[in-house]
Amino acid sequence: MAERLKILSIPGMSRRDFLKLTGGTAATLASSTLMMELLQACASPSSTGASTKTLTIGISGDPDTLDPEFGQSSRTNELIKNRYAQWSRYKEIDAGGGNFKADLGNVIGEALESFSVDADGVTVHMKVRQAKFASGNNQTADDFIYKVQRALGIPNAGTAFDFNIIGVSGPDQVTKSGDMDITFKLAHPSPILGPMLRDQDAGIIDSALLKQHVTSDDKWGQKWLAKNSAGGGAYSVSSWTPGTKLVLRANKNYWGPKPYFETVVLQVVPSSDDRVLLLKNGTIDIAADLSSDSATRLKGSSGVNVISAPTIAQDMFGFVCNRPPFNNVKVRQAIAYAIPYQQLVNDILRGEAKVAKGVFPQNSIWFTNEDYPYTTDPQKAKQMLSAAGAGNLKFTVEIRDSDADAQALAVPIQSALQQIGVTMDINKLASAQFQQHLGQGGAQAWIQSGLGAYVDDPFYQCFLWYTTKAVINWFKYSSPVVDQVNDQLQAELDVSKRKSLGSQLQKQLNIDLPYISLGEPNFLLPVRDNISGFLYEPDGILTYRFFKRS
Amino acid sequence: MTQVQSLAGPAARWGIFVARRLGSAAVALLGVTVLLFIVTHLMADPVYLLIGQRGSPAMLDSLRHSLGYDQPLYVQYARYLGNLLHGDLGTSRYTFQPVAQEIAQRFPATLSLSIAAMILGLIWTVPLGVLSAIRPGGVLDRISQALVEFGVAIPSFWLGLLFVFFLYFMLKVAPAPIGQLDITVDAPPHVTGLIVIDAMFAGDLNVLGNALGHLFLPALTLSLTSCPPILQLTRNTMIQVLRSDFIRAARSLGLPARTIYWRYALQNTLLPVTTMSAMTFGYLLGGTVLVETVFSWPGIGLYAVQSMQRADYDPILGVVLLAATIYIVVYLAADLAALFIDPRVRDAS
Repeated sequence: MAERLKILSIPGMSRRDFLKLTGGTAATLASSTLMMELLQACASPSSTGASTKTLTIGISGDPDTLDPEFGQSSRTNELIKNRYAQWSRYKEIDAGGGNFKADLGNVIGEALESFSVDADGVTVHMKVRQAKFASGNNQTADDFIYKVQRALGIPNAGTAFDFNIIGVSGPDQVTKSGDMDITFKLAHPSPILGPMLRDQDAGIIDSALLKQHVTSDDKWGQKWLAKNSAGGGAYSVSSWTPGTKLVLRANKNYWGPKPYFETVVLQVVPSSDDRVLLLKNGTIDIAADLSSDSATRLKGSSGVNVISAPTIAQDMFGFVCNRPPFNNVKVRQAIAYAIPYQQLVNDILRGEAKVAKGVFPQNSIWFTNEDYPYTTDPQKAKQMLSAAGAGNLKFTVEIRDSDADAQALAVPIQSALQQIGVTMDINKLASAQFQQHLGQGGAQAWIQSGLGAYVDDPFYQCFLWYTTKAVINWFKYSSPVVDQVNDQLQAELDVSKRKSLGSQLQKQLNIDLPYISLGEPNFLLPVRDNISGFLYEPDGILTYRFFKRS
Repeated sequence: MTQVQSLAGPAARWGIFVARRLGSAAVALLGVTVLLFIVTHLMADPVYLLIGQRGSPAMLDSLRHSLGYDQPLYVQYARYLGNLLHGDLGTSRYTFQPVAQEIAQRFPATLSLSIAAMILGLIWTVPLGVLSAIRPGGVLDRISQALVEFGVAIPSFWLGLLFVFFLYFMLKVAPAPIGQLDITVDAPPHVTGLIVIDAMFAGDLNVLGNALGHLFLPALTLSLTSCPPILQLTRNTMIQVLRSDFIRAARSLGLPARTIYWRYALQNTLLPVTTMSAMTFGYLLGGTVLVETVFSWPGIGLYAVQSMQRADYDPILGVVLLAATIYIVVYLAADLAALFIDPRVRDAS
């Protein structure tokens, strides 16, 4: 026995120490068990699943605001879209598996019953739908007039863009021609009138309700509408605890089919790792805001389905074309030959993307297979750089620090460039700083993932990005050809002529390369396998009312 | 008369001490506002993000003008300071809500987490520190030293993630890391903003249990990663105290060991431990963003980070001013506590 104790003995440890240690270990185990029991007692059954009529979405952070005039982030846009009825919408068509996609050629009324354009192309007659807002107030032409006045009246409202692009710059262009009738007088015929009026920003506001909350120093009720709902969409905000959750309830007055889910909970879960675990455990139904890597890794997980939909989005490598070294088009073209496109699609985007075949995305209805010679060819890239006098090229690419895909894409690009003697420094910036540099053209180059036009149209893209005076010409790109094409596209309604102009535009962009498309990623949405009814639209915004639980 | 003077004397000295400390605190806070105002305003121009992707240059200029960002920095600062002196911490440029109101919504979550972490921390660190000091180099001491090294070395977010992975995901014994309550549990009526306390006021045991369950793991994570210095300090101070003459005298007089350790020695150990605890508490109250992120805890740390991302000036300034104020108040409280606890400090003051 004594021998046994000797065998067990540890140098420097007395019998008393040994007893203490074993006693301590036993106590630790006992307390751990007790702790687990206590935790289990405190973890109610609801923590592992909510009501069947409640859709729970794990999101990375709060929306900025609930005001429909300020939709600047995807979460804010999503909430605007689901709480407000827009003037129009795309008709949805079956995409298989219980999911849907937008029919981009078929715009129908939503808050509007119908609309028609006169032969002059600039007079638009609109019939307001007989419907009620969530408050119970009737929707009338006054609400639509108020919407235009508010969008154009608030000096920095993003919604002004929606109206400006279709040729409405002043509220006097929109008049009431009856209690339920409105007339638009456009400055020019607009080929994108319907698609623009379906933008989430175009949500109609319950003007009678909002006017109750207007004050002398806040004539548009911005303060109140930033935290409250005044819409007639399928859902309405029930409660919002910033940093915790936002609860939406189905709007009983919604004119359309009743949504399956009576309640939608947007649960703030800042950690993407947590969102993955919560989805796997069934605590949430949808894990939003995941990187391509996190989303694709969920494939094959028990109880999880990763919905994948082709998009017109692109992961962009943008050049600032008025600053060295990318003010030289030859340098831009050389870089395009150095990018390992297939590697990016296979390794970083995990096969959930297409290799680009042009500056325009291949899923765009306007895509034409114009001459786009840029494939991975490091030798050619090196020769071109040498010919352009940029042999020892060094530059900095900027990335938003919350853009995980962009960060992942940057690394293999950096390695590929290094192999041809190009040094690319990666600079991660906070959102505000990144956006400032984009706006001011302060960077040399930048990478952003998932950028896409909300409206699939060449004029929309030009107006937004490519013309010299484009709203967000982050490339600081200027081309007389593109400017001229834009002017023609703006008022051209004939589809075949627009196709031709779109083709001309792509040809020029493929030569000038204000940016390189690193890939055309699919839209990925990890959901529990009993959730269906996903509707894909070009804006990539979720529409809650189509979701169902089987 | 002499009696009155002798009573008024200490009170006056205390008053002077507190007034001096408050005066220097006010100067420090003013310095913080100046420094922070400059840093935040140089960090980024927020109007580009505020306007979003559809803003024209004219809209940018209009917004910059309406927010007063086109004014010289000293003019902007003077306006901010003027508002601050009237108790106005400004307004978030995103939510259009007063910063004071937003902080008031978030701070109770941070406060409850900090209190819970401190309670848990003191429960395990002080007794373990005392026990380690009784037999330095013994098994318990070695365990406590390992715990100190572990707590100091392991990042709090990593420990939190481990807890979440094993206790929530694998074993399913812990609540989901989704903040202070389950998704389907509504918060009790607002009284203090501290959910545990409000649940007690409401007499709602379900909510209370749920809130305690959600509070436990983040508090444990923080107590394991933030409180080890308290253990180390307790141990080291206790060892010194146990070697002092009065303890030797107590031993020679035959006082029971329990009385010597837990009554006389511990009391003389408490002074630096109190200061360290106050420092730790102040640090926790300033927001612990990593743990808040892992447990989706809606505290001021996450609020500050979100505001930093957006260069939303007023919320950043508001949170930092709050944190600075907390530090100053906590340090003052610790000094006052030291005055009460230790007559030597009182005499020196």
